[in-house]
Amino acid sequence: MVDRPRRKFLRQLGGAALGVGGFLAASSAPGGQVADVLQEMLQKHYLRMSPEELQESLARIERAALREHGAAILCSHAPPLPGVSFGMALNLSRCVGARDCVRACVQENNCGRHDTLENIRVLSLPRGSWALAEADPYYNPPQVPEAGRWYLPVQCQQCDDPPCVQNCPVRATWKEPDGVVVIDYDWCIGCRACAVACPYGARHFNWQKPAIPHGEMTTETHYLGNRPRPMGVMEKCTFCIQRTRNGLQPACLEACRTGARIFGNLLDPASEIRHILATRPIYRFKEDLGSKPRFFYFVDAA
Amino acid sequence: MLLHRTGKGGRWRNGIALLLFLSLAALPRPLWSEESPFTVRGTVAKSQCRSCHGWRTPLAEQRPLGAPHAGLLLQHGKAALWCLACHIPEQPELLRSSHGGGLPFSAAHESCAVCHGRTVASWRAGVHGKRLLRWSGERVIQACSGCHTAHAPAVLPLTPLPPPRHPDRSADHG
Repeated sequence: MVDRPRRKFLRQLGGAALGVGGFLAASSAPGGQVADVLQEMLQKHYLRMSPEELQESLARIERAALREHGAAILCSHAPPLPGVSFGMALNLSRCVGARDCVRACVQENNCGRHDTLENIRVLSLPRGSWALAEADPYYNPPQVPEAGRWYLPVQCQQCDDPPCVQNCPVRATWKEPDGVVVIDYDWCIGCRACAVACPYGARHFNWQKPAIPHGEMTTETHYLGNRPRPMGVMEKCTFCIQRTRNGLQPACLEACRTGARIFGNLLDPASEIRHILATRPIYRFKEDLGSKPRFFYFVDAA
Repeated sequence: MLLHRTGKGGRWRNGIALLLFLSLAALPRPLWSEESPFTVRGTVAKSQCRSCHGWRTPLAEQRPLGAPHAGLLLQHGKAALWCLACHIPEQPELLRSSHGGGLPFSAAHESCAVCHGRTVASWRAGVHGKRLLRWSGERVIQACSGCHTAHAPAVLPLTPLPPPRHPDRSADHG
């Protein structure tokens, strides 16, 4: 004869098992949370996914954004434009260090707001000096430009021989045919080897899940660009791949109040950036390292 | 040895070739000869000058601007310039051009170019100023007055946005 407390316990256990089973069955149905998490774990590398697998992945990303951030996003995988190779030029004579680009970048690219994660860093340097050891990214005067200082905005230089790509042990980062160095956030293992390899400090690690205030999510996203990142992966500037592959200007350029940035197709001889390369004194940051940046600093001709 | 072999004729030919080469190298290279067409955004739509100066000729001499012009700060050329440096007194809605003709506000950059020729040339080429909306296709560029107030064009100092959080001073580590 079974005593009463034990029978009651067994009955409760059975009920609980039924409940958990029912929950799992419901949530592992296609499109459910458990199914999504499992399928994301089994997902292939971006470059190896079939078109159908890619579509499923994009749908998963959109569902996750709705679930975790309460935002209805559209995630695309717009391919590189044929005959286009992106480059950016920045006029150091114009930059005054107002950080408009930094804020626009954070907002456009859905970077975590309560983090130190910013894909553009503006360095303040003593006038006439390239002493990077004295560079101050934390300057905060009431007004800029400060007397005796000049400003050097640094972000991913989209190197043609990128040390970060060489150093990734799982090939989660690579260079696209349009020149943009991208990351498959779902393939990244978060080892941060690329951040160590990058001479520009342009790669940033998501130490926590990016906190994006409600209603501030940029909803036009790209798989390789500004879609919400999970915790524990790297991210970087992608020349706003979600905008520029649609012909739009990058967010940093749009926000700059002094018009210091010029963006365009390096393969188009009639582009503004080619005109600058042909006629202005050009400086490539840490060019001696041989990483071949496609980010060109220039000054107004004297 | 080679030099010895070259006769007088050879040297002459070499000289001609060198001259040709130098003259070619000295020719200005047409780097932006065919300027891409563009549309200008952000020009001043119309002025209020006509409401008074339609019947009253503006004074030619520089003077402190009085009551009807209150709020009009004239700080162009370190305050050395007077209205009529750019505006045509008989036609208040037109600006002066380099050849004396009147320009509508939509072509104000031509008037700016009378003094700021190099800056306007670099603006046309897409170096100074800003291309709006798209990096490809139709070129829409910001007008001079989109950034510079025509009457006080100096760019004022800006208030910078907050700096990145210093890792050592971060609240999480406190």
